[in-house]
Amino acid sequence: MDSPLAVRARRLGKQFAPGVGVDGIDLDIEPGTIFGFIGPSGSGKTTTIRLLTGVTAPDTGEVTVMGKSPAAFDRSDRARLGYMPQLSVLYDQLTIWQNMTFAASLFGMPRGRRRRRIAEELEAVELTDATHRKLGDASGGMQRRVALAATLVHDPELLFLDEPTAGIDPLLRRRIWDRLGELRDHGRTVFVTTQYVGEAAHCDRVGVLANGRLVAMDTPEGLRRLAYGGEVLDVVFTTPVSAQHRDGLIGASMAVRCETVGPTEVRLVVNDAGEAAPAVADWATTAELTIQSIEPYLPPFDDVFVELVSRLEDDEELAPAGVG
Amino acid sequence: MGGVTRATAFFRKDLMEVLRQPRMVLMLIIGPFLILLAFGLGYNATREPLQAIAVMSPQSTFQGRTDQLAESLGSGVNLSRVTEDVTDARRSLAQGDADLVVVLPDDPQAQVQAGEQSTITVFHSQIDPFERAFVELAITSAVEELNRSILRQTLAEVREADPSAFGDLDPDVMVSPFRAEAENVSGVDVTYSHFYVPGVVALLLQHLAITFAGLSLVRERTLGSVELFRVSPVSAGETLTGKYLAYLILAAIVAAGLVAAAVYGFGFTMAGNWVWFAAVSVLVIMGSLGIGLVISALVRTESEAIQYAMLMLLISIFFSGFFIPIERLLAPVQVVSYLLPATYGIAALQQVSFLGRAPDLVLVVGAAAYALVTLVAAWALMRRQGITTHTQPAAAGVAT
Repeated sequence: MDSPLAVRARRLGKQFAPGVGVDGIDLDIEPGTIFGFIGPSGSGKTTTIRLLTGVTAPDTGEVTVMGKSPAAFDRSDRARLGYMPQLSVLYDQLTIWQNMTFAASLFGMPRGRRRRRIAEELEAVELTDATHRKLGDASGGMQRRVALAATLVHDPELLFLDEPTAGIDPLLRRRIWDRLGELRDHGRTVFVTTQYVGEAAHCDRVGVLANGRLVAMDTPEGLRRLAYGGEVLDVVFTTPVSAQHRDGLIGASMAVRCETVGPTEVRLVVNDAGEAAPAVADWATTAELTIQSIEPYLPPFDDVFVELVSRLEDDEELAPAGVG
Repeated sequence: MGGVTRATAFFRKDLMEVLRQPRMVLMLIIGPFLILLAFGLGYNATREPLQAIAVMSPQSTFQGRTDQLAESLGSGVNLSRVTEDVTDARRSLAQGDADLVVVLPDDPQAQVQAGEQSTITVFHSQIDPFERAFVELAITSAVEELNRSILRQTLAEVREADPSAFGDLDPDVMVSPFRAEAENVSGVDVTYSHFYVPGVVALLLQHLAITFAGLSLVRERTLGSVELFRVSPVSAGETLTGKYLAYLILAAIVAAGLVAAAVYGFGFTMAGNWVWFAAVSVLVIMGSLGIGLVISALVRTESEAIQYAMLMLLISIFFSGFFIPIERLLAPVQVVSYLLPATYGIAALQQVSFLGRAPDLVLVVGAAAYALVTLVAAWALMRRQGITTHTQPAAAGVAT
């Protein structure tokens, strides 16, 4: 293989107690991508990061990161990693600059390069004017930005970020995702966990974790399709739609299913919205119905997540850790 | 070069963290220092004479000779009053108005001439075993003094009746043929407060260093930084080196401050070489940092670390030779003494400060060995517990 996967895991598992931990995680993460790991609190996101970074040893399965087992990492391998834990691990008594200096020095960066990189990273998170502020006096959002800057100060190739947007305002969350996008564009690989399901849209690929199991892994669009069984079209007519009309719609559009949203509105799950829309328009003309609007519906990722998890609980097809 | 940078990271960070909390440092130093200072200044080494009530019947041959009796009891006992009522005297004793009640016989001379010892009964109410021993010693001493006084008087009376009796011998010499003369060959006249200065310095340095080091790793663990260290290329040795040097310098600065306070505040004088004093202090700090780091690697919370630090201080007060000479402890218990850095420090600093010579080699080697062993133990524990990169206890990447 010319370019090894940034992360490869097979049947990765770690049990802390019955039902606590992760089980059977399979991951393939391409370099230069943002991989989002989404799941509710306690689903096993942090455990997975600890397994991938070598902080914790797995009970079962195998993992390679940048082509090597984390247990076999030497100093140079570790210098290629960046890790931002879920909780702040920086020091309240030190200034922002001193915290950055400590983080950079952990990676053995010489003084000149260290100062330059600290200045660059603080500028990137818009904290240049606050360098001499004690971290303990900084707001929660500032502290989170400092933590991100400290994680990036040694310019790592592969980033593990554990809920970097937890507990901060939407504007700052957006800025952080913009920054992660820049890093991806510069060839960095980002493994990021979040419990904000809507943030899946910022990722190239997304893994959905529930109860320690990877219930799905795909692109954001692929996940929507996976959750609903196809693409979704919302069709609004000018007059009420009967049950007979709905049967006709299903037949004309080859829909997987048809849900009634309102008296004049239906939601169709189809294989290809681009092909189904003209077919629906033709059928409406034949059925002497007037279409007010017909447009693809992009369900929010919260709904996608709920759909995927409920499918797991119903023991449907997705239940055995679907790897896309 | 990278290793130096990583060790320097911890050195600088830990130094700054402490210096940015001056109140904590002051509390840590000033608190125990003030307690020991108050004790040193308040401790009264000279004992007041015991207040005694003499009980004698109206027929007693001691009647009318109370001045002579008071003089005979010696300087350790002061005859405050004389009564005929033993019940009244014992009531005063119970109320704390007197330390002793001395019940004198009616006619001791007749008893002696009849070939019997005459008994002086002394009542006291001491609970403290040390005080009880002192009182009983004082009573024995006073009665012996009284015996000598009576014997001297008897010999004088015999000689008055027969001037040729005993030849040229002086009755005083006959009564007390020997006398003791004590001479301190150390040539050092140490006051009580000065005597405790080396002990206070060693004890405070130990307490400070154990507390600093004891909190350092556990704080990283509770904060979660340890997880970051494990992912970074930093090693246990680099972490330990940085922290060790930071706290060594901090404690050395404190040591200089303590000694300056002793010299300029209390007139403490050094008989020996200050270089030896500094060297021993550094060894005490190093040993204490080592044991502090071991504690830090073993405990789970900061409060647990502080409890261990306080326990070490308490153990040191009793077993390090600070108050009680180690030789007074049973041999198995002395093992505890030599598990304390302060034990080596107190003995060595006293030798340097008062005897004006280099400390015994065994003390210096012992303190250095202690520092080395605890440092290696701390390093091994850090590696075993996976506090840094290359040391995860079970970080096998592949498990099946």
